[in-house]
Amino acid sequence: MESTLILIFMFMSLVAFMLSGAGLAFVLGAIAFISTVLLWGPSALIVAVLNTFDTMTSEALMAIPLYVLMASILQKSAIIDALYDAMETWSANINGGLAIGTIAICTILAAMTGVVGAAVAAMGILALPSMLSRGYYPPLALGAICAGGTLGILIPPSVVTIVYAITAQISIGKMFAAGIVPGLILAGSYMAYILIRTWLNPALAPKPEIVEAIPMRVKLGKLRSLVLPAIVVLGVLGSIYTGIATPTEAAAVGVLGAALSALVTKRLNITMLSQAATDTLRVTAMILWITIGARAFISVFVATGGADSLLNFVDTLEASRWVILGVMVLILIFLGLFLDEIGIILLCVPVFLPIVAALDFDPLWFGVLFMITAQMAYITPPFGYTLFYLKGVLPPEIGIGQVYRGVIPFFLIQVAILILFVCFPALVTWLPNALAANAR
Amino acid sequence: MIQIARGVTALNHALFGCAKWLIYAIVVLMLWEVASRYAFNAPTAWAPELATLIFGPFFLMGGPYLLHMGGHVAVDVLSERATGRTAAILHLVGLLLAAIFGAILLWFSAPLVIQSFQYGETSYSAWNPVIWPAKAVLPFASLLLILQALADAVFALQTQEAV
Repeated sequence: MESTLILIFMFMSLVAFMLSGAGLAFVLGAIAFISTVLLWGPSALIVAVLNTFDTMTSEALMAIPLYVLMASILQKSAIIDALYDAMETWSANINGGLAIGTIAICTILAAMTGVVGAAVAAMGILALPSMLSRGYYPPLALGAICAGGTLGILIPPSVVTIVYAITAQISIGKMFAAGIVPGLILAGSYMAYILIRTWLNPALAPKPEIVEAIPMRVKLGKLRSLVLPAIVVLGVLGSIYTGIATPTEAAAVGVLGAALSALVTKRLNITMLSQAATDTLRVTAMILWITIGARAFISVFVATGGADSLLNFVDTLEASRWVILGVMVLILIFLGLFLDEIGIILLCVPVFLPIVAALDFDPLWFGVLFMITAQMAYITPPFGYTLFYLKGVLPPEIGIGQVYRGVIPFFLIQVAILILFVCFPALVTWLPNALAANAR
Repeated sequence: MIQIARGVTALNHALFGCAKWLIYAIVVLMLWEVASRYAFNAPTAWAPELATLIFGPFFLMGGPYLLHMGGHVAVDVLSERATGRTAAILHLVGLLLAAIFGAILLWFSAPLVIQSFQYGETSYSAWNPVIWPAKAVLPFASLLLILQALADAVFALQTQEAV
C-alpha cells in the first residue's frame, strides 16, 4: 500500500515540477532520490550512484557525442550551400521543383547530420527566400521545410534512434537499418504530395519564365558537392553493417571523414573545431544528465512494482492489442506536444516496452512508430521545435499562422504513413532482418 | 555575494571550455583502435577503455555551465508565460531542484570514490587501470552543479531586487 502512495507521490510531483519549467534532469533525479529514501532508506541510494557510474562508462552512449560532432563539423563545412546550389540547377524544370528539392536536400542532410534544427534553419535561410521570390505559395514552402527537417529523426545516423536503441536494448545498427526504408517512404510521400499539388494548381509554384539552358557538363559538375557527404555517410553505415566497426567506432571514423570534407572545402580551422566541440558538449551534457535522472527515476518505478502493476492493469483490460497499441501511440503523440523526444524515450520506453513485448509486437517496429510520432511532435503547433527554428528566419511579411497552415498536410501524411506501417510491419522490419541474415 | 557567484560561473565556464576538447581525445582513441585492429592487426587493450573513462568526465563537466546557459531540457509551456514574481519563484524552484539533485549525488558518490581510492580499485579488464580518477569527477561535478545553482539564485535575487 505504501509503495502505491509513493508511486502516486512520484507522478504528482513529476507533473507539478515539470510544469514549473525546471530542468527535466533535476526533476527526475531529485524525485527519484527522495522517493528512494522514503521507500528504502538512504543506503538504497548507493544503487542509483552505481547506475550513474555505469552511465559514465557506457561505450554505446559514447556514440552520441561522436555523431553530434560529425554533424556539427559537416554543417560548418559549407557543404549545405553547395548542395543547395546543385539542387537549384537540377530542379528548375520540375513542377514545385524548389520545394521537392528542399525535401531532397533535407533527406541528404538527415543522413549526414540528423540534427533537425540544423536542417530547418539552413533551409529557412537558403531555400525559403528563393522559393518566395519565385512566387511560391508560402504555406507550401514553409510546410516542406518543417516536414523535411524532421526526417533526421528517422534516417540514420540519428541521435534519437541511438537513445531509443540503448534504452530498448536493441542493437544500434539494427535500429539504424529499421529507419532507412520508412525514412525514404516519408520523404517520397512528401515529394509526391508536392508534385501532385503543384501539378493540379501550377500557380502555387510558378516556374521561372525563362529557363536558362545550362549545359549538362555544368549540371554534372555541380553534383560533385554530393560526393563528400555520400562517402562519409556510406563509410559510417557501411562499416557498421559489414561488421568492421561498432556504431561508436564508426562514428569516430565519421568525424574523421567530416574533418576531411571540411579540409577539402577549406573550412577546417581551430575556431571551427572549437565551436563544433562546444555544440557537442552542450547537446551531450543535456542528454546524459537527463539519462542519469531518468535512469534513477525508472529504477525506482520498476523496484516499487509500478511496472508490474501496469502490466497487470493492461492484462485485466482484455482489450485488443491493437487498441492498447493505439493508446500508447496517442500518449506518445500527446507527450510530444510538451516534452523533448529524449525525455520521452527515457521515461516511456522502459515503461512501454514490457507491454509491447507482452502484446507480442516487435520493439524494433515500435521504435519506428515512435520516431514518426516524434516527427509529428516536431511540426505540431504550438510547441513544435521546427516552428521555433523557422520563426527565427521568417521574413516580416509572413506570419507564424502561415507556417501552421503549411504543416497541416504534412502532418496528415505522417499520420497516413504511421497507419501504413502499423498495417504492414514488414516495410519496417524487412531491411534490418535482411541485413542481419546477411551478416551471419 | 555577487562576486562569488560571478567567480563560480567563470570557473564553470572555464571547465566547460576545457572539457569540450576531450571529445577529440575520444575520437583519436577510437580511431587509433580501429587503425591498430585493421592496419596493424594488433588491437590495443587500452584505447577503447581509456575513451570510456574520458567520456564520463567529458559530459559531467559540461552540466554545471549548461545550467547557467539554461541549456537543460525543460517543459516551458507554463513558465514561459509567467512574469515578474511568479517567473522568479519558478526559476528559483528549478535551481533548488538542481541543487538537491547535486547534493544527493555528492553525498552518496563521495564515500564510494574514497573507498575506490583506498582499495586502489581497478577495472578488472585486460588493461586494468585504477578507476578512481574517473569516478572522482562525479562528486566534483555535483559540487560544481550545486555551486552554480546557488550562483544563479544569487543572480536571480539580485535582478529581482533591482526591479
